[in-house]
Amino acid sequence: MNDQPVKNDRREFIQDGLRVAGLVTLGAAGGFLVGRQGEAEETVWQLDPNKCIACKNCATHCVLDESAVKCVQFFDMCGYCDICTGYFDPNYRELNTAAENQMCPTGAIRRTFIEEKAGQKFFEYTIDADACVGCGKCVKGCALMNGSFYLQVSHDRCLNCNECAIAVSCPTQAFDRLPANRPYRLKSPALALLKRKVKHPSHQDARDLLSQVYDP
Amino acid sequence: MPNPTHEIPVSQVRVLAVRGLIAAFIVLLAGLVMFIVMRTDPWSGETSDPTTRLSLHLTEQVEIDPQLIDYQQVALIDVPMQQLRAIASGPQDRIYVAGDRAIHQFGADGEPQEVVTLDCNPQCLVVGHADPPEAGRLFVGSSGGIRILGADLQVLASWPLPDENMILTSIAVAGDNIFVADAGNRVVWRFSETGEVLGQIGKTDGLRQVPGFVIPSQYFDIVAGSEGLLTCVNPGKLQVSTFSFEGDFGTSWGRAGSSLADFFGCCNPSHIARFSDGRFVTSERGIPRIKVYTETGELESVVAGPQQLGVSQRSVGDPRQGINEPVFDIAVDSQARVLALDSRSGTVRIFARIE
Repeated sequence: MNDQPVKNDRREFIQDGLRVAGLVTLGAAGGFLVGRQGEAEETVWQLDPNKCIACKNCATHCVLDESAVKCVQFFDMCGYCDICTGYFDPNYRELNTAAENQMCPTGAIRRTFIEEKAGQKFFEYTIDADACVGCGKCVKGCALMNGSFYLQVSHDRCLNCNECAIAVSCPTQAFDRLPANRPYRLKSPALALLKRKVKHPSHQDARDLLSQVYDP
Repeated sequence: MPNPTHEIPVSQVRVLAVRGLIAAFIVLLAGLVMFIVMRTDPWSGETSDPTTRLSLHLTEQVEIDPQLIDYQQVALIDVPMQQLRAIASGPQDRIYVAGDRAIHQFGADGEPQEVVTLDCNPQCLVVGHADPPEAGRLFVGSSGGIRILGADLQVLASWPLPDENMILTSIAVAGDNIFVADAGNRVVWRFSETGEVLGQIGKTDGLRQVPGFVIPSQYFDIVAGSEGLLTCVNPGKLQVSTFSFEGDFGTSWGRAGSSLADFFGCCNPSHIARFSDGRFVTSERGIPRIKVYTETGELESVVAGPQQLGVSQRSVGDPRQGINEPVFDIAVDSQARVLALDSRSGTVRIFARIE
């Protein structure tokens, strides 16, 4: 039996210390990354209507048979006009709902008479999302006047692909990812209007909409 | 022994041959008809590429036959402003541009002359005649009220707006009367030179047979004539309406449509000016076009289309434009030149008739 006391080598002690410290750091970093992944915010694809040029790629590039991108209407910007440039073909023959007078290739816009004032008829234009293919033809037509139509990714249809085929083909890079709890965007003038509107206590619908809108 | 084969009578052979010929003729005729239909079908081109139906084609509306354009751009004035709001022409054909809390004055040749700063953001502007009582005064409208500036650009009078819902879009002057177009209330207010409200014009009134204005957006322009008539655009009806200064409805002209003689879209014309001989100049938004109409509303000539106004076909109907939409406020001077305010490029385009 060797009764001689074990000599501690200073160099070995430092090396052991470094090894232990390295292992602790590695473990802590792993735990941090795993923990952070669990807390990461879920994001979804959305297009920015301030950048969108309604090029029709949304209709033709989505992996779904029927695109997840749909036209939406921001009523506060709409003029409720009889002659709507988003509804009627530029070469319309008559102001009625006959297919040859409509701009939409799938007849997805509903025209409903609202009232007659100052000798002028007013109509409400709503989108039938099931029929809309997201081509943006009406968005371009509406942009000639008030610009209340715009395109958005509909999240009850979007598969949220890792690589969105529309985003890849978008000529203006209008697609990016938004927090899933605020998955929609508005045009800048529409957002300004909505912010003004929510100040009135009676506009709960405006507050509900604003709670879903991403505001950078 | 008789021959077992059945002989077909010659008459029956003839009948069969005729039937065969008729059948062949019918097949050929049907083929020919189908060929003609396929070659002349106006939609055959679209069906070959289904995505064509997803695109909006405005070439027919945007491209104007150069033979129909009777004016050409003769000058371009740079205006050092961020937000150009309104343009007016004054005595000696001086040019005034309002915006950015200021009014810039240019000579008839475009030489910068004066800049006057304001304590408000001007929305609309008109300049009176050189002779009294207007004496070359400037009448400026803003959300803060109305201001009258003398020919030396000093403030002579001002008063606040009488209604909080007023959205000022245009101002006109005739003698002692100042008219202010209000898109918020869809009426024209008539003021005295001291700011006293003398009346409202254009409010729907069945007894006086005033149909009322339809203003779907913030474009509502007016022009006053020395003969006692106020001419107003009625954009929601795609018309131009005339009233007496007392508010009696006179006439309306203008037709909706996409042809050159008509007003395009849901709300046009956006701006109007008047030559001294009574002819009107209109400016349209959406598909920007500036045109000259006779006093009774017949298209006389085209001043400029999108191409002449520097608006590319691709940018017409571009949803991104928003606040930078190509809308051209207009004015005319004593030489019958048309001044178009190009707020996108920060310039004034001057058009003169091609001799």
